[in-house]
Amino acid sequence: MKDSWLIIRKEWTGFAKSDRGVFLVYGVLVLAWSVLLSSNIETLLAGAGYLWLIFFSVIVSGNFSNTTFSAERISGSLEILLTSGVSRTAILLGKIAFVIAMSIVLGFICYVLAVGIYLFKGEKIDLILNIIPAGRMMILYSTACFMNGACGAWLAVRVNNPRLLHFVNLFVLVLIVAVHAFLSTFFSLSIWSLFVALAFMGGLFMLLAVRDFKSDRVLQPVVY
Amino acid sequence: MSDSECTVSVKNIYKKFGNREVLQDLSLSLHAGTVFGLVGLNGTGKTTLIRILLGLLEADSGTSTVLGMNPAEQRRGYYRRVGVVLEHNGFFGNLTVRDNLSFFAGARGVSKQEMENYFNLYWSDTAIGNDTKRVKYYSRGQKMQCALCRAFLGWPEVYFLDEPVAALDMEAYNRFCAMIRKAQAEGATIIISSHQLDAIEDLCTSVGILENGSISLLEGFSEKKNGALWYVRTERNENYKKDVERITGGAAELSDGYIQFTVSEPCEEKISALVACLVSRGASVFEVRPESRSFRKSIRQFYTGKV
Repeated sequence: MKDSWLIIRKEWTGFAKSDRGVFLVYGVLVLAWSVLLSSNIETLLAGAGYLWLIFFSVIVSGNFSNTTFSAERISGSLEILLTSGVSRTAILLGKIAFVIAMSIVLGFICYVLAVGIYLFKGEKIDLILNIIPAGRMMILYSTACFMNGACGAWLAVRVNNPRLLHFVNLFVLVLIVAVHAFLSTFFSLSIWSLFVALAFMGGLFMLLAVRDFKSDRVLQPVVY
Repeated sequence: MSDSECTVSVKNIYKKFGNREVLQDLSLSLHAGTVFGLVGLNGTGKTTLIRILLGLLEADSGTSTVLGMNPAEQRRGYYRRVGVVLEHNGFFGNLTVRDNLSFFAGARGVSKQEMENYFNLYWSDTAIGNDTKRVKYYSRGQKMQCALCRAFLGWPEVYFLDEPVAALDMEAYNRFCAMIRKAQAEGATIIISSHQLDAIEDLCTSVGILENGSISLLEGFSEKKNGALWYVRTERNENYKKDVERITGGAAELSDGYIQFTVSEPCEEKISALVACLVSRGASVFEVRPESRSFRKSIRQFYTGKV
């Protein structure tokens, strides 16, 4: 636990000391997504239109996975990290926790901004009454972040070409959502079934990531 | 040397990547205070051996023990006792050198105060002493200095240094040599893998050449290093050879147009007496010169099959 915290702190310091351009990009992305979300806020709170949030998670988590896992593999700092005295599992869990936490924070900011923009446009919304639907959406979004974070960690070890990481991550998410949508046409599936599917897949990817992170594969050269 | 005396012990290691056998029946034993130079052509498995000794890779068969531990199984306690420089400098680019060191100090169990003292004592007056710059903006040489700074943090008992002198300037190189000697004096075992033969010669007490998957120890490296090889260019004559041996006290050999001799101590003062003696005997002395880099020649001879 202490070691994972050390990794989270290191990742946070690295992110906080990024170039200003990085923050600008994240700022513009959050703002743009908030505007999109604000025009769908009613359908979102009614339990539909959640794809806006879920697909935001893959953009953010994929990007953080890229910088925390793939970039370190390319620069060689991952290899040194493995010899630092911190266990491999602690390194992996610390990094995944950072990716998930950052994705959730950005998603939450996006959500709050979207509501703010909605209200700013003069629309009416009962914030108290909608706390539960909003919470439900945030839980779904957080689960998607967990799935994407775990999937990104596994892919960062498994896929030797880091350029494919984002694409494969997106593909996996689309596949889960598409299967859920397809099955929904035959059975009455609630939004919680998607939550369960994402959590299950996230857990599966986590186990695969732990297994591969302990193997020689993590040291294989990255190819473009 | 018994196994218990060895800090690094490798026995019959095999490692294969696909169909290619990189290490074949490799064995090596090093005791405390050894600075071992690992040389070999590109792709012969030097980095693979270091990775196995670090527990980053597992050998297909054979055993490796460092400080009495199996690197592949006892990672946490093990890494606190080894210093590492690998192919890449391995620093987190967005952090300053001190931030990076703080992280590694935390991971290794080195206290913050100890880290600060170490940095201030050894690195504050160097090119990486300026703490405000992020590591990603450092030059290659500066990044290597950062990697060395990290490797010596906490003065570990065993060091694995892969190409540690690449891109170092003269000042940084001298500092590196001084730190190696300090670590050696404290009983550390140091493995230096490098293509920089001058550095190997300057620092190492023994040298192994990795070829065809196994290590051949370079015999007489220590003697060659300490002794000076000299050449006297004169007529080929057995009597002249005897004179050389008598005056210099070294072992002489006759070769084409040269008398080659090795002495264990500096012998500049004996050279004038030697030349005077040879001339008095009617020899034509065309050239007398020392061959200081005999190690480089030994390596060249190894590869050309003359040894």
